[in-house]
Amino acid sequence: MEVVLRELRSLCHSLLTRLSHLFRDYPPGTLQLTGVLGLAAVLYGIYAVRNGRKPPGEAGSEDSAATAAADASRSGNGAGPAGQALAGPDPPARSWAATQPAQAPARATGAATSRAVRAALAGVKVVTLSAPGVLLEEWDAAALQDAATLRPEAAAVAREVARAARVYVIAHVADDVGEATVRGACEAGGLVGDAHYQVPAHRLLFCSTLEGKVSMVRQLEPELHIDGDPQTVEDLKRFMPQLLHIVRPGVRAAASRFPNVGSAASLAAAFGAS
Amino acid sequence: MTAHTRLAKEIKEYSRLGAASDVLLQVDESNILLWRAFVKGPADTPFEGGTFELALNVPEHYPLQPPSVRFRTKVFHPNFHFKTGEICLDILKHAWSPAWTLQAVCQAIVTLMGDAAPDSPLNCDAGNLLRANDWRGYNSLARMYTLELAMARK
Repeated sequence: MEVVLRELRSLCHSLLTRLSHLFRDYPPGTLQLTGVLGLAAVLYGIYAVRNGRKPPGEAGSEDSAATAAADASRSGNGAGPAGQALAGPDPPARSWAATQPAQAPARATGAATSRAVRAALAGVKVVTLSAPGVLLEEWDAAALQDAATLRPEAAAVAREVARAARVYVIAHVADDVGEATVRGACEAGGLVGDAHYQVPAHRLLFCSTLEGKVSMVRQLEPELHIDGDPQTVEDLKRFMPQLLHIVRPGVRAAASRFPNVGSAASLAAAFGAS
Repeated sequence: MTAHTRLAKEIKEYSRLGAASDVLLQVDESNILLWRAFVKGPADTPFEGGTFELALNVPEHYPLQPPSVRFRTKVFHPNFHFKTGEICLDILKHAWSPAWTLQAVCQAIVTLMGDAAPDSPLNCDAGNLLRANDWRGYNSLARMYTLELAMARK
């Protein structure tokens, strides 16, 4: 008996999920709610009103992600608007971007991520991203000799950033092998390409020293620089309007006393998209 | 010899020899003291394939005084100011000689594009990259700017 009940509950749950997706995906006014579908709509409405909560699969709605970004913005540490957005603690949000295919446009990656990123950027027009640790799972040039693994959720956020701002990606590599490895990972993961939501291939930049990376960032004059290397953050803190340190596990956040420097556990967390 | 006489002679010589492949000079139709030049980025440099515009202002005392030359296309190079286009080249200052012509000046600038002197930079960040021996970073950034600013992108 218990098994049958469990099966029934599971079936109802599945039906509700499908219904909620059906109502959500169709533009208003295009779905003919007659017959069985109409009855289902009524039952669904009653269920939603009685429970006073969102149906299954909607636990972290678009609005909640956008609200999370807005909350992060309010809890900043007194820098400019985007500095406030990015310097605050990691907002709670569901991992929306991570569930999406790598090369999908914004409609598929989710309007929530898009809204959260735009809210966090708050008018920032030029962004530089250091790839190791931020976009890639490898944290330094030595590790990139063996492999480069693009973080899908970070790539999804970076693509959203690329829609709203001019993005330059910089990778510190040891040699041509490291450069080819990183380029291949960024292209295969859909971060770099010709589409309007991707970073153009010529804006994927490489350097062979950390000092060189600092000079490149200074030259590019971004309004926001994001880096996984604490020394680079320290070196740039006097020059950049806003810096975001993606902190490697076990490492301290850099320049945390500076109002223009924020920190987060990941790029997705910083933009309220995880 | 006045600047006008000398420039007329240079124009005649320029027409006789034909334009060098990497330098194209144009004189302003209403003022012989104002020139534009289009130089090609030298081969085997991050500027290869790019066309860079220069503005040349010739003083009345030319050729006793050097012309004032600036890039109108932004170039990432230690000896060129990225924003103002100013050029740090000895022959445009203390090493000027009346023997130099406008075309020769432009060719000297093309040579400088491929042979940076990072010790007295106008662009500190380009100079720092080369002083740190980070040629990968320098070439990468210079190439990016060449593609964005000096080449007609498809």
